[in-house]
Amino acid sequence: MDLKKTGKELAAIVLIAFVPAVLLNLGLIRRQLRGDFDESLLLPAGTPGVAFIGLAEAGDLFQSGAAFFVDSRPLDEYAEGHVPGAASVPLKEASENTALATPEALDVVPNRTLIVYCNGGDCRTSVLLTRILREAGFSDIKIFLGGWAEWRAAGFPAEVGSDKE
Amino acid sequence: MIRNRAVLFAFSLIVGGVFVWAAVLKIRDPLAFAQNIANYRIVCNLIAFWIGLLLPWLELAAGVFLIVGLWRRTSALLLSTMLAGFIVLVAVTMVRGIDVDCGCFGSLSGKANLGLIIQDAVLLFMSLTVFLSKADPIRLIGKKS
Repeated sequence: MDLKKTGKELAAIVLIAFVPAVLLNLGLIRRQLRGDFDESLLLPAGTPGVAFIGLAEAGDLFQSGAAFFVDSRPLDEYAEGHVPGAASVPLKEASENTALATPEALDVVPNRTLIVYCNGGDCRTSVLLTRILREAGFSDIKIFLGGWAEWRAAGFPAEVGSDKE
Repeated sequence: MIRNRAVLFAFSLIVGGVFVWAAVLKIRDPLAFAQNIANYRIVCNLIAFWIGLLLPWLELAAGVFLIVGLWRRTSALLLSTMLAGFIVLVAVTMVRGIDVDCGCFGSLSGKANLGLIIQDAVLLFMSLTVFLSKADPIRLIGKKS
């Protein structure tokens, strides 16, 4: 194997790939340099009414009853175990029918603090559901990044089953 | 070692095709792919952003070159390295118990699980075969090496 030749070809492939990648994404790169994606890649920094929280804060808000939990995972995963009292609003269903994510549908006042969570590894689900909840009128939404996996691992209270089944 | 030129071309077409398809799906929404990378919880958002921006284009370029036969062995080496990296990443994620979408095919991605490791291993076998084979597969452009 000719290492010099391979190195040259590799450099050429990388150059051919990276030039359009940068040129076609200058807008995103500018936003990155401004710090827009420091907290979340899918929600711009400083999005009104949305904050990211960890396990400790989620646990405190659960204990004090100061927040309403929203589970963004599919219904079967919710039924296997969820935060006690959490409402199931699967992203897929809410995307197709946004009426499922309104204050009326959840029977919660719009200014109530919501904590949205998913399975923990894929926080994109929560972020996308948060967009829908904001548009439906909720003004104070927190995304629990660790999600169900972290909640369960911490030994926090859990509830199984679903009324919707 | 496989020397049949048609088989080597078929391997190039399959591996290159999968990478081109995957790249196009990810190039359409680089932020969503970057979020997928961040979900593995190995790199920070800044690094995930740049990987999300650059990796799909590298997959596209290497995939196209592998299919057309230009810089074939180097492209196969590059794609093999990526596949080996993906296998290690998914295995580590499974061991850590993180339930995550693989992010491989944009919004069409499945879970990062054993099935994905097997799928990547099959592709790795094909790309390594193309890389290591002394025979020159059928090529669409470029001179014979």
